[in-house]
Amino acid sequence: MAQGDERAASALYDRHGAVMFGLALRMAGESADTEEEVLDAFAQAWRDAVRYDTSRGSVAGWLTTITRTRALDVIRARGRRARMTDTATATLDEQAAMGSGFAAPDAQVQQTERAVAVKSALDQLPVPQRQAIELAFFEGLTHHEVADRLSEPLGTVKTPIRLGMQKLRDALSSLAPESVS
Amino acid sequence: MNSMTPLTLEELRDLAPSYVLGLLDADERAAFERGLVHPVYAATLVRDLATHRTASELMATAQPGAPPPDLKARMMERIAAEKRATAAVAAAVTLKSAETVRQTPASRATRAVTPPTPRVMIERRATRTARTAWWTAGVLAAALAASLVVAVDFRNRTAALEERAAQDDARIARTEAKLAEREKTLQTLLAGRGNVVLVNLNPAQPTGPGRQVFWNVREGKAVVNAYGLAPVASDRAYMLWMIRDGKPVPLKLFTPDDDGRAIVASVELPTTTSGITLLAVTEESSAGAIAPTMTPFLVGEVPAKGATR
Repeated sequence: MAQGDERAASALYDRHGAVMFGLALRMAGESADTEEEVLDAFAQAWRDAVRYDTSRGSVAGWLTTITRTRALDVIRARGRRARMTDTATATLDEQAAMGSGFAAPDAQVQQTERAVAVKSALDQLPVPQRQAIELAFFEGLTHHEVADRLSEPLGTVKTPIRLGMQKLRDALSSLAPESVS
Repeated sequence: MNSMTPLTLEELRDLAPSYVLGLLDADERAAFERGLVHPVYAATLVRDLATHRTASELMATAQPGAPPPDLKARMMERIAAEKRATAAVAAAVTLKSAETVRQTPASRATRAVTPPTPRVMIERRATRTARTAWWTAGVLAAALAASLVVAVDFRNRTAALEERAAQDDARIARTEAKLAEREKTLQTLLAGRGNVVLVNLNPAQPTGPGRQVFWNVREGKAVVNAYGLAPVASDRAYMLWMIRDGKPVPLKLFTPDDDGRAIVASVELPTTTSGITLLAVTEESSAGAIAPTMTPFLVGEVPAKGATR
């Protein structure tokens, strides 16, 4: 893609389009915005491909960062932070099972397996830890905002987030980072 | 938390999850980033960071979505448009770098110009050649004009210098003549030693014209110092007389300067005062006179005792 090959962009979308769309949908919550966020994210990836450094992370992580940043921009622009976390996780089962009908078959299988594993890891977290982590990751809230949202003292919020992330890391350590070019 | 407070490795490791999630405040983030370059902590923290980052990225995969069927086509169309825009910009940059002109002679700013056709290039070359010839002729004409101006200026300067040199020569000649006259006067006065007779004409008048005659009787010469004299017409002059044996004898014609002064050297007088009783001054024709035509307006008595050599 760094050489301007549109086929690489096509392959990138086939492999990550559904995940990025799901991430944007989870974060922004509105379909029209979600589609634009995904388009913006892939267009930015196309432009920034020459600057992508393989030593700094996987392509999936790089694309996730781009998509998440775009989604957070939309969220912050709206000033709409009052989003629920439990309803999002409530739909996790059917979304993960459905996957993307437009992804490549192999990618779809991988995504489904990964989604199930990640969902399982999240489900194993104590509710306070999972809620705090999801508020921080999917809504981009700060420590203070998470504490406000959960009506907990600031010090009480930091620890669940740290412990939850450590547990999540340990649980997902078997899922090796993918390398997609 | 104080940003300057050093944290332990364990404290920094506890910050890693929040750092990945972007939850740290400015001080915490700065402390953690210092740890990332700490010679002892860096390796552990970088490893922790990588694993937490992977975990957070995996969270994004927990909920794949179902994009609209046309989303990929729109994405590809968007990328193709970006590619075309990039190519257009690159072409514009290439064109601009291939041929640019300065917007103003003193400006570094440039503007792009349309690539010329061969015919236009030939016409431009012919125009440029003619322009160069005219330019060269103009430069030569300007150089010639400048040379003429310089030559004329040089000639004028030379003439002025020559004139000034001539004036200086004349002034030097006058000065030398005056010095020679003064030298002669001095010689006349000093050579008389004790035989110099002073004759004061009109000594009783404190103001107005007067005259002193320094008579070197030994050599028969005198120096006249006149002052307070009125100017005379161009055809007139003052005449010095001596009265010898009761008869006037003309001695010297002279004219004063603008200040009414006159020093006359080398006036010939006898080597004895015998028979000479008076010296007098009249105004006469500049051609001289053998006898006074008017009553003397300056008269001085010659002392009797300085009489002989």
